[in-house]
Formats: sequence, structure tokens, C-alpha cells
Amino acid sequence: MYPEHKKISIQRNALEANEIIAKSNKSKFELNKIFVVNMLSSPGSGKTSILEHIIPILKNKNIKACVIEGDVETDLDKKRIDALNIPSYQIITKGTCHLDARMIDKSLLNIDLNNLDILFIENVGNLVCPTSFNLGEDFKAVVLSITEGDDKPLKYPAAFYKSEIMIINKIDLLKVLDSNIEKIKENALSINNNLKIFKVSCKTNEGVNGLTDYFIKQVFIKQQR
Amino acid sequence: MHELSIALGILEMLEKNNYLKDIKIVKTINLTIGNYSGIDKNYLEFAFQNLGDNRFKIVILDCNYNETDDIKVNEIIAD
Repeated sequence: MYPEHKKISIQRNALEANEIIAKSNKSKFELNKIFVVNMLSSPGSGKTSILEHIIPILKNKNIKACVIEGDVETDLDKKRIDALNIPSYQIITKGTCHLDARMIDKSLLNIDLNNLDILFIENVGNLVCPTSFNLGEDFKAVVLSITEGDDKPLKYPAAFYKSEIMIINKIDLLKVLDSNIEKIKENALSINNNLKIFKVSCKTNEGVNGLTDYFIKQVFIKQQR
Repeated sequence: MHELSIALGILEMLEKNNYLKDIKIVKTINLTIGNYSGIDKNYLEFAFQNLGDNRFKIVILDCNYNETDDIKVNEIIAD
């Protein structure tokens, strides 16, 4: 090394700026006892469909839900959520492949946090980039549809490593596909042994009640803290 | 390509904490990258070199890896 070079010790989180805003978001959620889920998946795995199925059940139980939709383009998913008559907010990233804490912070200006029990953040469909950015959520939920192949957890380990739950969607297609659901589970658990796994079908409603009950339980736990 | 956002995040952290004061050119950034961080070293290096900030135009990344989801900046070598 040439003597004129300066060595400067840093020893800091590379995403410190995002972490500071994520902590501020989390404080707002804690203050209002809102349970927050950051939903990750590939495009087309069924995040919005799952929300369309669980939100009416939450509404019937007087649990107030809101959705922040993250998409590269269009508000098509927001329109589907709006049809459920709950508050929603659209973030259009215009090419950015993930949501970050600053985007969530800005969107919270448009959401009545005093009147909310659970907030779903539907991240941009992408199994890589959204995993790096803490938004201030309670946990990440990764959605995997069985059409994606049982090796997905091994190919995209970060999303499975960082999630609390995995929702295997489109299980009604098992009868016509060669997908091996036990292999999906085995591969996911090899990345994260603590992953809770739910199997659902938005076509037949199989597993939807169990998944919704899990979210309801998390809301009650949060409110009793 | 979230490596561009990571590069911008690192730049913001370095600027906010005054590490780039009087620095003309950053030659090397030493990082710890967790295997579960979803970061590709080559893309991140490319992102830095193309930030449009001349201080990072020829920067080289020197990375250590571990079994976490960390993305940590350990040290920079600069002129």
C-alpha cells in the first residue's frame, strides 16, 4: 500500500440510513399497536389474491386492516384492494425493484394509524432485492406458489432466511403439477428452521382460515403488549 | 438491481458521518457481506463506479463473507 493512502475505519451497517427510518416507522407502529407484515414473493405468486381472501374475514371480526401496495407500475393491485372497502395506499416505484423505509415513512402520512390493527405491506414482486431493506415491520412473510418449483428456497435463500412465515399458495394445482410440496418445505426449512409454513389455495379457500387465524392471533398479541 | 440502492445507502452513510471529508478518491471499500444479504459483489462494485460520483469511479470492493444477512462497511482506503 502506498504511504499516501488513508485507511479509514468505518465499522457501520451499510444501510444505516434506511435502518434509522425503519426504526422510526416501527416506533409509530408500536405506539399505535399495529401489527405489520412485509409480504415478499416473486411476481404472480398470489400476494394480492391472498389479501383478497383474508381481509374479508378480518373485517368480519372487526379487525381493521390497511394495505400498502408496492409496484413498479400501475395501481391495478390497489384497485383490487379498494374493492374490499378498506384503506390502501399505492407506491409506484418507477423501476426500483424494492420498497425501502423512506417510501413507507412517506406513505404513512396518508394513513390513519389511530384507526388500524394490521397493516400489510405488499412489496414489489421480487425475491432478491426487497430482502435487504427493513421497513419497520414485525415480520416478513414470503409467498411461494407451487408453480415456481420446489428449488426456489435454495435459489433465493435470503427471502426464506429473513421471513417468519412461508405461505405456499396455489395448492389446488398440486393435482396437475409435478411439484413436491414436501420438498418445498424441506428446502425452506434447511434455510430457516424456524419458518412457520401455511398451505393455501385462493381457488378452493383451503388453508385460508388457518392463515387468517394466525394473523388475528398476532394482532391480539401485539395489542396486549 | 438493488445494489444501486445499497451503493447510494453506503454513500449516504459515509457522507452523513463525515468520512469523505477531504477525500479525492476512494480506492477500496472493505465490506462484510452476509451470504443471506442478497448482494452480488460485482454488481455492487459496478453500481459504485457508475454512481456519477467521481470519488468512486475506480473503487474496488474487498469483501469478506459470513453466514448472516449483514452488509457492513469495515474500512475505506482513499486518497
